[in-house]
Amino acid sequence: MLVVALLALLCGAPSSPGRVVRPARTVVLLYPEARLLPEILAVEDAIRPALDPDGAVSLYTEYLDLARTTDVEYERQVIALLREKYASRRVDLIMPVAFPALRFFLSHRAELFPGVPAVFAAANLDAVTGLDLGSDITGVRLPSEWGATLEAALALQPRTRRAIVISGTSATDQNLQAAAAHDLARYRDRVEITYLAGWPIARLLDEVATLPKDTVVLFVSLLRDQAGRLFTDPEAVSLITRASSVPVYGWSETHLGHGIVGGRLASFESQGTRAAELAMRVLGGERPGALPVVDGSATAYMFDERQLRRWGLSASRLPAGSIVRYQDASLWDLYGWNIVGVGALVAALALLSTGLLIERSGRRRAEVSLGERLRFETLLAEEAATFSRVSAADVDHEIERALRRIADFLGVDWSTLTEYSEDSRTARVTHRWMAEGMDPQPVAALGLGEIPWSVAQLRRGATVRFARVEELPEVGAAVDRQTYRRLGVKSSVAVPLTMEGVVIGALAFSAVAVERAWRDEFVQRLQLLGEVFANTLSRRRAEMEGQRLRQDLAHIGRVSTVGELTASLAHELNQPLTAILANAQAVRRILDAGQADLIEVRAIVDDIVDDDKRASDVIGRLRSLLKKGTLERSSLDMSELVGQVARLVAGDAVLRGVVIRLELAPDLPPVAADRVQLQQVVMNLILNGLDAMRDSAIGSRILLLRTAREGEGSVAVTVQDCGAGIESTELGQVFDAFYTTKANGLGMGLAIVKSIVEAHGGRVDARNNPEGGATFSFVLPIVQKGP
Amino acid sequence: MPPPRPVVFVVDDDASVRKSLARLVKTAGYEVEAFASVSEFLARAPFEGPGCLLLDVRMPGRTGLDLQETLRAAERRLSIVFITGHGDVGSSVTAMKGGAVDFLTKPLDEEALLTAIRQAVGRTIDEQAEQGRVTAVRNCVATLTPREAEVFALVVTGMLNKQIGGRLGIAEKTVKVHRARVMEKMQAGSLAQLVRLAGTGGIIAARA
Repeated sequence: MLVVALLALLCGAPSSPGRVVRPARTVVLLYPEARLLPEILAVEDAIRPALDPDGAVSLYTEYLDLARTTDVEYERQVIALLREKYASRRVDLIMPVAFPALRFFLSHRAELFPGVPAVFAAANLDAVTGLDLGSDITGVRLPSEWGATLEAALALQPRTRRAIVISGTSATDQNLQAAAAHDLARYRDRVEITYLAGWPIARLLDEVATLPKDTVVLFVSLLRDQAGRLFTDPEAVSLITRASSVPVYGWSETHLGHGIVGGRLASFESQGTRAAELAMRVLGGERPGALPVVDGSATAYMFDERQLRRWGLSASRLPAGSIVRYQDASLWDLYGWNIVGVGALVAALALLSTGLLIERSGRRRAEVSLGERLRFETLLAEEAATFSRVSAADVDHEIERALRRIADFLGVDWSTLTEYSEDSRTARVTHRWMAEGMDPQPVAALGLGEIPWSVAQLRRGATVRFARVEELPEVGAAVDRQTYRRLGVKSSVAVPLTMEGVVIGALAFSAVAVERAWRDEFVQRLQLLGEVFANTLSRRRAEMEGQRLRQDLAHIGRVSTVGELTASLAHELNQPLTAILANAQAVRRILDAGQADLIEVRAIVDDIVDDDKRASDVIGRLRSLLKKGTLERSSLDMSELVGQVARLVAGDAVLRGVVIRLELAPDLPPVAADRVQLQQVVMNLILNGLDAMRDSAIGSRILLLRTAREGEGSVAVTVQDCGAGIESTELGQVFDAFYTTKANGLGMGLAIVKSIVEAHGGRVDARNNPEGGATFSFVLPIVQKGP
Repeated sequence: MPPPRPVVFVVDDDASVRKSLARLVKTAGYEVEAFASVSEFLARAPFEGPGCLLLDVRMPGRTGLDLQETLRAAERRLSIVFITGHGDVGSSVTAMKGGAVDFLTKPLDEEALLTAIRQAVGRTIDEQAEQGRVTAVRNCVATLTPREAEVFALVVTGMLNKQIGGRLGIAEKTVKVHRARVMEKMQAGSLAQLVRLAGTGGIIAARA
């Protein structure tokens, strides 16, 4: 009777005919850390939409903060909290993420979630013994790929004798370190493996800074160091790769882009996706025990092009099927300004999104005034946005304004931005803000030697912070302590400004009146701000570099106009020569006439001398015009040079609607050539290509610049355009002087190219592409090593 | 009283060149006047005597070619020797078409320069003499009455008095009187001389 009524009810429901109504499901995600780590975020981002496409599943998340599990009382409180929280809720599935969360679940499931099935994700079980999953648990294992990563490292660096393996002290760190040791054991015969497990970060950075060349670093995990400092893996990777004297390899996609060369990298996203698939089946009624534990299959050899270049590693030695990312690094060279803009924007977005995350964790932990935090997040986001579009001329002004605003917000007494010189030997305070009544003199005059410990920290990419001067190491930072006391500084925080792994300066905030503790999250925000400033400053440096380059080219312009000037110089030289000759002839006639007025003769001879001086002056001017024109051969990387010139003409290309594409070989052997002259060659070829596409359809204006090895002994540079091409009858003449198809062209550009290239022992070529347009190229001999 | 020495006018913007050329030309027995620009030269009172111009082609402001054109338009007879810093075919063609005596390239060959100056001075003298004759004829023509001028124009075409009278609608006798007055005013001793004078003065073309 009841069944019939229910059926009738179901069938009669017009909104969902034939649809099975299921009660809402509840899934609890267990995370081992107190924070939303990038890896966990990747897992959750994959699980959430897959598991809950139409909002029918209630997802709860628990941040267990297992780094504190040594604290028995803490663990007891967590368990009590969870029991209380879920006592009145029906839980359908538990999803522990990472092994420590799985272990926690296994240890406490009887009292917390009795009889609830579980699907775990991203748990590495390789070094785990005596684990009994039971019949209602399945999941996705995190594969151990350290061996594969080490293999790749050995292929790239065949002389490697030693490997340093880095890990931290958190539960996840320890689990992964054990798995790595398990996996790497089989390489003991080939490589000496040293485990730096749970070192304090400062000591660790010191250690990796001085590693010998036959060493590689394998990064495992460093969520927490011995001193209890917390990191995310990308943060730790950044610090370590900056400090390291040798290449660093990793095993997770989240490490890539933060300074590692690469490795066999695991995808946490795919962990989440596969775990979600299993979870759906369990929620659909299947028994977990019937579903075998699976491996998260998606691992791949992935590498960072910029790091390969940084360490001079040959892409040809990469394992088959490797994915090389960040190949567009040269875009930075090309579109520095724009990218900085985008970069800053990304930083701003990152700020906003971390702001949201912080807000989430804030709600969970309710520690700090949400209002104050939000205001700070907003402030930083606004600053990031401002700096993404600041013009070079306004940089100084804007930085000073930002320093004032932030210092104001923080209630500190002064803030400074220090820029290190390019050789990192000297530093100068480029921007500062001081509260009213402060004497700026002592701060302005502060030398690097007066705070040596702080400077050393910053140079290594580490942060300096202290609430009281006494927190600084008594022995190591004795000088710093003295200086801070002399300046009256009570507390201070300083973050390094880094650009592409190089520390270019520091951003510091100091308080005189109060002792201030600087929270981790706050320091992280400051680091982001530091990145924004670093971007801004380095973009200005790049612009100055560009200016220098342009001056060089202006000089080349002068040299090439010497040809045109010859006529006018000949005229200038002709005048004194004419006068000298006429005077000499006059004096001869006077003498011949036999009635010489010696005073007049003397005057004429004086004039001759003066005019001769004038003639030498003209020659001197010509020489000074050509002063920089002497050939100075040096070892040149043509890829770097082509990239530089491309950056110079980038603006021009944009105006002409031309897309410049770079295919620059990363490890070309050097050629011996005059930098300025070869810049002129490349510049002329690029301008020629841009001109050639003047009448092409906008979307098809692509100029491809390519560098490559040519045979054993040469390097080739090609410039391929999509223009109209060259008349076949004229192919042989394009490099001749005064050959031009342009109404206002002199016809000298390609002739100059030819004469410079041939003067360097190379040769030029021009041909039409089968698919349209023309390709101009030149080949230069490489520097021969040894006799 | 010896004939006046020819004057060579040196026009060049370069002081050293100007001074040295002036010296050299002076040693060859000429009077020399030097000018730094075309305007400076034109500011001088028009020169009627024997002489020539030694003229730089390229100068700031008005060029040598401009001056050549100005002098021709003003019917001032002063032959020109151009000097230039570099062989410029276009300028030299223009200069020579405009009646220049020579076009010399700096530095100047002494012999070529003095030869050119000599020729130029000679041509100036000839042209000025020619112009003197023309002026004299024109002055005489200016004294003729309109009727006399008509008779003059027809006489030099070889017409008989009777024909002229028929053409002008006057008596043959009257033509004869006008004709005698024309011969007298034009200071011509014969019909042949009158015809030559008419050619010099351009009368035939002007009044026919």
